[in-house]
Amino acid sequence: MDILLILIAFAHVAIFVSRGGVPLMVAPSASCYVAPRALVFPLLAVSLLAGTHFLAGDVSFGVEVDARALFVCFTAALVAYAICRAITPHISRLYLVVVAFVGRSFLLHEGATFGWHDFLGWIVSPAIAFVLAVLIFNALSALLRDANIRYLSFLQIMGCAISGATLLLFMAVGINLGGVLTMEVFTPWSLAVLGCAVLLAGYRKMTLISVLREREFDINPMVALATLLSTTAVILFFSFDATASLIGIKPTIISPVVLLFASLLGCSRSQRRSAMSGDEFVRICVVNIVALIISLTLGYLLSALLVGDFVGGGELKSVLLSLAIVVVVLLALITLQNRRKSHQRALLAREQAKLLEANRRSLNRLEVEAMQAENDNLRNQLELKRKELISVAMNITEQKEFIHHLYEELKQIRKVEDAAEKDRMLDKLHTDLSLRMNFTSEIDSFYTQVEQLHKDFGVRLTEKFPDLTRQERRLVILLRLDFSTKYIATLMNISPKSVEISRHRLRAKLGLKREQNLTNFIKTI
Amino acid sequence: MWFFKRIDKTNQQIESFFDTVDQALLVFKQGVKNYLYSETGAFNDNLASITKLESDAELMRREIESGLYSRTSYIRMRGDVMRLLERMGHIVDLLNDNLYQFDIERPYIPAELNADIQQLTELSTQAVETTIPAAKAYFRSPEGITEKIHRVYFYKREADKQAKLLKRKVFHEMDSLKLSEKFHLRYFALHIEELSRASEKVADQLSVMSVKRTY
Repeated sequence: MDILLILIAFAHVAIFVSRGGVPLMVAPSASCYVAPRALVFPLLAVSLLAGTHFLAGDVSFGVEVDARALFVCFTAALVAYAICRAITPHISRLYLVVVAFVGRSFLLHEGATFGWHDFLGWIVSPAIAFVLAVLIFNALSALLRDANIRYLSFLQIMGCAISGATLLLFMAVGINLGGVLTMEVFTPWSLAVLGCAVLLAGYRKMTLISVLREREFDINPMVALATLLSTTAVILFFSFDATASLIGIKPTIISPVVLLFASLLGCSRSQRRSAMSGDEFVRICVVNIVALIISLTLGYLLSALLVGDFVGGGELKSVLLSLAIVVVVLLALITLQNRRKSHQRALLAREQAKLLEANRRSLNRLEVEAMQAENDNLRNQLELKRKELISVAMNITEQKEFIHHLYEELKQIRKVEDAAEKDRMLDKLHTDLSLRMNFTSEIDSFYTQVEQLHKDFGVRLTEKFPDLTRQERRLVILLRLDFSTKYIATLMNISPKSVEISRHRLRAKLGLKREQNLTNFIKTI
Repeated sequence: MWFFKRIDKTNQQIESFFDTVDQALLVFKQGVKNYLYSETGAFNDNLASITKLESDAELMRREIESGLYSRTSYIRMRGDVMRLLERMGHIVDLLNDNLYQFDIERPYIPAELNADIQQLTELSTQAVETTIPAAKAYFRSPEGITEKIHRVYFYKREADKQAKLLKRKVFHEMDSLKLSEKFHLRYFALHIEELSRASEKVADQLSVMSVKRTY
């Protein structure tokens, strides 16, 4: 049973690594493109284990941690983490495990040494990390400013320094946890299983490191180094009696994630740039506190369950109650996740529906616009035809009136006896007829229609050549319609020779060179 | 250590690249002067020199790029540095092309325009020259970039003014020139002016890079 519990606990460790993304401890180096190499992760694991077993600090729970304790605490922490992760992923999983141990100790009255000083250490350590990060960052800035190092060399040196600092950080975490993890479950066999689980989980997540790099941290190498160094220093500070007692605190387990955030805030303060908004900061703090309470409660309840089941010291009633509570919590967790997923799906569906609606509306608008344009076009054509008809009708009326006038005139002339008077009246009739032959109104109507048909051309012509006279504009229009000189002469009531002269003048006015063709030029307007 | 040697090599190549650009500028200036004063022999020497400098710069740029690609720690700045080198390389290409255009097209330049064209060349090359210390500052002390690129913008504006002056003179005062000759001169003025425009692009790029580097 113990082996089963150990395996489950180790599986939880692996899940911790994979569920929460790559450990945030790698993030500063990953953001500087230093860590994400296949070889780095095993090195970090070795560094962590070396710190745990060879340089273990003075942190202790005062009780032996066995397989059951490991199972209970990791399960409680995992459930608490899974519940709160929906709000923010920045939760200290290490603190969750520790408080689950505390919950277990309450139940068993084991006399664990965990107490107020640990909580004090959890509060004080981020503040120290913040101040230390500011100091380290400023010191590094001053040092590198005076050193006058070339940028490429600087990047290379910083790359090496960040790699070293990351290894140191992992070792410091190992040292910090070393005192707690000196327990019977860590045999060479179980360590190998744990190592494999962590490595597998880590490798799986290495492919997603670019996501972490882009989203979680976007910091320059100096900030990364200052963050790592300050975090390492604070963890080491709280790992030994000699150092922690300087501020009247006993050594305690310290979460590197919390310190990394605090250090990052310190560097942001030095750079006068905001790393996160105030709302985000408050949310992270509140969620961490809630997660700790959940983990503590679950640690207590799961321990009660296990004690009743395996040790036989608990009452059946309390066991059933604990079981019921765990089931309820798990159900709540599943429901919460399902709700979150369904909420996301609903959001996605709503977004898609909005998009579809917007597309449909834009399509409808386009259709309506096209129809309106077509209607306008038809209306214009209709108007043109109507004017044509009116013009024809008026023309007929006018012709009729003119012919009637001629008839009356001729009748008058026939009646006149005096030859001189007859000649005078005939001359007048001749003049009327010759004037009529100019077809003034028809030509005017023709130009009106042409101008309506080529409205755009008329506007462009006026914009480009505002000095053209009315007669010249007419000539331009006729030339554009490819009329021959003979037709143009007829339509303008001038001789072909005059058309040639007008063309020549128009060329000069349009500023054409000798080799340029007038008609072609007009067509390009 | 071995990897620091490699960085030193890349650093030296970058320095040499900028020095090559500087040399190409000097050769170009000398070449234009030699053309204006019909020093054909010296002008041909300038052509040969600038061709060699252009191919050297191209080779160096490729080697630097391969050096930058060899290390992951350069990922953040790699793109910016390569763009900077490409833009500087483009300036060398422009210098080479412009000098060859003088050789191929042999524009007729009246003697009274010599001083103006020399002045335009001087201002345009000065704009490029001032980008070189700014580009070098990016690799040493990015704080100095802003101060240096101010000069680039100043010389660019001056080059613009000089180019306008020259063109106005050609079209309004040089009645003895044929229209085709005027166009030809304007075309060459534009080409020389293009150098200052290219240096302005480098300055813009550097100002963005300096912000990114200090972030």
